[in-house]
Amino acid sequence: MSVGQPVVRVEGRRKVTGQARYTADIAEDGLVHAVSVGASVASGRITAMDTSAAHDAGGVLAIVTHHNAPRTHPVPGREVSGPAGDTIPILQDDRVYYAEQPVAVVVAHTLEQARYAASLVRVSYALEPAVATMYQRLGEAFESRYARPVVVGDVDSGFAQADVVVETTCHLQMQHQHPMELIAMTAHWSGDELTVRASTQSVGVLRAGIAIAFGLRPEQVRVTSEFLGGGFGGKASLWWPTITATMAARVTGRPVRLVVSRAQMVAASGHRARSQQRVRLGARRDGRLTAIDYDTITETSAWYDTPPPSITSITPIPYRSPAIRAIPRFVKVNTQSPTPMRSPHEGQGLVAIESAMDELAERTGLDPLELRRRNYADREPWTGKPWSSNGLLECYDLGARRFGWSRRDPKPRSMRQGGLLIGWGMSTAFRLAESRPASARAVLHADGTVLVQMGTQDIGTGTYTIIGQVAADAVGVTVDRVTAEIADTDLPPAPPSIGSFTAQTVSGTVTNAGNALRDKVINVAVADEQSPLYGAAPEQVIVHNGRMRLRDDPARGETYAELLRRNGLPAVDAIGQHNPPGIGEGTHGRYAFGVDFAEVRVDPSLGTVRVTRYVKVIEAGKIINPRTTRSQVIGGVTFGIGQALTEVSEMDTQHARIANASFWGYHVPVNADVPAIDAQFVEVDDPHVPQGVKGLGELCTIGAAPAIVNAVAHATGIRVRELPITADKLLG
Amino acid sequence: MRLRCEVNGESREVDDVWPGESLLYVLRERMGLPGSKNACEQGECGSCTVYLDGVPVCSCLVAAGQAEGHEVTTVEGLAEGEQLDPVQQAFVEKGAVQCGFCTPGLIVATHDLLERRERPSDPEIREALAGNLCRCTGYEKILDAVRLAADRKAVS
Repeated sequence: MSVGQPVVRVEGRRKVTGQARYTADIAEDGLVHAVSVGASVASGRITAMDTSAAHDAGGVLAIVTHHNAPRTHPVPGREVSGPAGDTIPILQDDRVYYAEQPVAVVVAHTLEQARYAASLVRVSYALEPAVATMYQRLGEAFESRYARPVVVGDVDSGFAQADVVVETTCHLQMQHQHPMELIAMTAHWSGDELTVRASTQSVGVLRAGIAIAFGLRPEQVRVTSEFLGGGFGGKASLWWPTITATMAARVTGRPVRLVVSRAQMVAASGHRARSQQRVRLGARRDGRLTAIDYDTITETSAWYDTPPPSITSITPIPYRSPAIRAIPRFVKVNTQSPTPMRSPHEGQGLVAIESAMDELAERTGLDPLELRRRNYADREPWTGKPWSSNGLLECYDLGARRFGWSRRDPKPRSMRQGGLLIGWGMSTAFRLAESRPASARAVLHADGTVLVQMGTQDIGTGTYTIIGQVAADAVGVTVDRVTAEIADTDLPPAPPSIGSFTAQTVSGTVTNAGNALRDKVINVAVADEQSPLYGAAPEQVIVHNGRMRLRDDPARGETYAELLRRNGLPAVDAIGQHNPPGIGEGTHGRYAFGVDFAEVRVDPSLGTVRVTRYVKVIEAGKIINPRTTRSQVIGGVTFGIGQALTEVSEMDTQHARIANASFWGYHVPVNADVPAIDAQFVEVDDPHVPQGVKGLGELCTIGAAPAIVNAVAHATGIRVRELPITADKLLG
Repeated sequence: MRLRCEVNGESREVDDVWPGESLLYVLRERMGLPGSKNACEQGECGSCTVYLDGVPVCSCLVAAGQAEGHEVTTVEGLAEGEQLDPVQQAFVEKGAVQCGFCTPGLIVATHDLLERRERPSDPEIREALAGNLCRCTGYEKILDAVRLAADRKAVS
């Protein structure tokens, strides 16, 4: 079996030698460069534009504004199969909804020419009042049809039965994905056919969106993305760089590359929305929950009523309770639309829920881990469905043992070393474990190699590698015989690389394609009079290392290559489909589980927090590749350290502009911020998900921020309710 | 201007270069060497790190004119034919690569560290790589790779 082995990343060699080609690396004949001019205000109307100086600058080919841009059709966020992106008309009218919204696109022969000319575009605005944060309009919070409340049982009677009630309100700031690769697009028209190279987590969503916007049939649009330099949710939807690059290419008749700057990244796609989360927990004296009441207010953008995937649209409550009420509400602000950032839902919601659980542990005198064990949900709490599998209790056991949790002194500020306060905190982690419909083609060549074609993406986590592993097992060859072609809308379609879907989707789809291919070739063999397998029952034939043989007579058989060559077949191919239940549908609750244990050291005189020890245990069913996955988990925890301690996009509340749109101002964790992270797996069999694979791309990060919040509270006695935990919140 | 410099051991000459454009731009757009990456263009992330006369620099902060007559080595110039440099090999083996976008800069920065220090301590590694941001791996596997590469180079 190849699945389960620590196979080395197949594209690693190309990446360490600089040979992997990302969108902005690919040269084309006649390629010209586009630079976007962003609005300098966050709300208002364009009253005048002067592009004459820009036109006169050297090398300029075109300046696209709302006066001359190709007309586009609105793209409703929910009509393409991904989270909503830009649904406002781009360069279609004089309205400005957020700072850095594109108001012009300058195209020139070289990037430097385009940049210089862009700096010469003069725009005048009639300013209108801008809402910078939801705190300016909390009274206008509204419920949305896209994020329905969850109500289980009767919360009021649940609280009436409670001996202890805990109430807490947490505030999460705006944060940005800031993948290392800047968003880049190259658009190339030839006649009415359009090809877009894109840094995208979904070639399919881009194709659907472009087709709607430009009035094309989907077949007229091809989108590819061979290598992607990270995404974390920010590249999953149709955002304006795709639209503006396509327009620029249409207007100039040239292939156009548009790469947004790091400063523009805060407006070129969505972000993790600011949120306010109020949690009330009711419990018996023994810690058993009687009621959970959970109200959230999340920011959404100013122009449309499709809110971001909200914290409570997928319930972030992993505990049993007879009564649950979760009501999401929204406030419109003048920012780009929020979008998922590793991870929405549980990744944001558990910060508040798990912080409240720790307060409940203090009030009931229970160990935080014991409190969580007592409230273990043996069924999906909001539907009552059985879990497809659930290894959470094993995760608790293994994590506590490896961390040494039993040695924790529950008293805050009780653990010290030198002048530093030591805190230990933990959090439950869980995340829906789903996949989406997809198809793949598996091709066996006469040399015995296998090609898998599937329109999925590799966002850096290792899709190329796991496709090879899954296909190798299904077809019956070694993994080095398999190559994958992905991220191209000419290939069989697959869902966006979001929602931790990819590993499970690949497992289901590629297994089916590989099995179909193997069966097809076996059928050729048993019908071939010259084959040693002639006349055998197909189900009696097994394949190992590319050789078909009888199950009971290993000597009787031949290789795939021998069969194909003798029959003059250059290749045999087969399609495999994957049709899982819809999200949340089906007979079982499909989730992956985990636990985070964090140790922090806080300098009480400086307010600085360092994470010094970390254990994360994950139960995500079958782990396809422990080498790539362990690295993924460590990176995911690091992403959560950023969420907890360092990352915030600072909003200038006067002008509704983000004030720190750069790596000097937006602090992603650096090398010295991250301790050794002990990443462990509990593997369980799950017959209800394809090949027992659940997926964990987001689970890696979920749990980290609340564990650190709880560790800081244990270290200092200060429960910080506003993330990130910067030094000022621990001083004075 | 006409820019002449030695890149990865080859004499290169390109015309119509604006002296103020970055060395990174020259390498990527004029010399067909897009291995060095642009992720911030202001020296904050290290993705564009190359050697200039044997000293690692952020090529986004070096003006093209400053490279005139000098030697440049990029990530594309570290392997000897099919033979990966030990640093490259270790990054692949240890799972220190995910999306790979920060990788070229980290490879060059690590290569430089191990030229200067045969057995760097962990704090020395962290210090040497402090200017290289990575958003995927969380750095730990990068440290593993650096240690492995150091071991192998010390033995060879």
